[in-house]
Amino acid sequence: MEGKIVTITSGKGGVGKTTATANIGVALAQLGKRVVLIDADIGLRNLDVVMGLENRIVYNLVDVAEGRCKLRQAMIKHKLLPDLHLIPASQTRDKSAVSQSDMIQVSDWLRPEVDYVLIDSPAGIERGFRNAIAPADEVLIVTNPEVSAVRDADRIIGLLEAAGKGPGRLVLNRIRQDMVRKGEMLSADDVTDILAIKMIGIVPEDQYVVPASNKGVPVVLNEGSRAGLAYHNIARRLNGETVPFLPLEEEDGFLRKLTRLFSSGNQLLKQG
Amino acid sequence: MAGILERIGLLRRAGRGGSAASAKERLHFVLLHDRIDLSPEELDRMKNEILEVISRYVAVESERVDFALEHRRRDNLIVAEVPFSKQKPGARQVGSETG
Repeated sequence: MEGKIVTITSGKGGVGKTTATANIGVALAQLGKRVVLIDADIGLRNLDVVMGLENRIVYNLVDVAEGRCKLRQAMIKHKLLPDLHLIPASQTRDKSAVSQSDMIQVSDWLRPEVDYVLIDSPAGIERGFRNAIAPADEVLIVTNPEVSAVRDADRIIGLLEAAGKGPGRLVLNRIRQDMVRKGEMLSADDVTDILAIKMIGIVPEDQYVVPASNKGVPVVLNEGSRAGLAYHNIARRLNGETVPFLPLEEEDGFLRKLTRLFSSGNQLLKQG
Repeated sequence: MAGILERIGLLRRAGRGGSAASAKERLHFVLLHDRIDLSPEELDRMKNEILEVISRYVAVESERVDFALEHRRRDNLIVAEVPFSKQKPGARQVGSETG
């Protein structure tokens, strides 16, 4: 079977695109898939540090596009997951160093070799975004339950539809159920209602996310993290499974135990 | 009691007056204008053309005309309120409702 190209984008910066790409990539690899992550944010390289692979970089995406190295040479293998690779962005060049046809070419090379290529799009709606969506078979849009982020997601959905790549599926990141309950935060239902697209995952705000990025170990590798579990479920949905949405409650007690139960189920799955 | 119900999620609508409600309202407004993607001049021209057509049939009270963009269920709507006084002399019959 040919690999699938999935682009992760958002419009607005800082909503958790790169974190989402890293975690969904790791989770897919844990499911036994062959995965390549591409950082398409040329000039603002980030995915390497989120993945903890910054000290292994020799070549990057621009080197591949300009023929200075073979594709294989720019693919950095993950420390724990041998079927997970990263093609980093260049930190010194700008977005004009890569074209849409370069992205399509690289994706076409990877397609027969892997199950998934995840492309981390830069923020914005300009050239970098266009490059990132050019080869996509599917697009995931990351947003937060905030007015500006949802507005930008709507703009992105419009652009995706115009480019024949839409409507995509939504990752709602950093939701706080305690605030939703108090009526102080948009709920997942509110956001789905406003944007009128399908949800692929709801990721709760989680205290483990920042330490994970401090250490360069994606939070999905932390078995106690609810955000990690949410990303794991996104990977399974992307892979075609039907997975019920997580209970988002924070209190200990029945729901928390239920979450743990799901979590231990996932551990079995990871081993299997 | 309400607190307990709220905690176990039976009173989800308890916080309707919170800032989430205004976030939703503001988003609907902003997205309608983003989605229609017409300049104020174009909106004005559209409004005038619509009024011009209606005026062929009825006498419009033009100072009370109101055009608005609205979101209802999943639809984006252009809602026009066009009060008219009476049928224009010479126009053909166009329904009997009064506004």
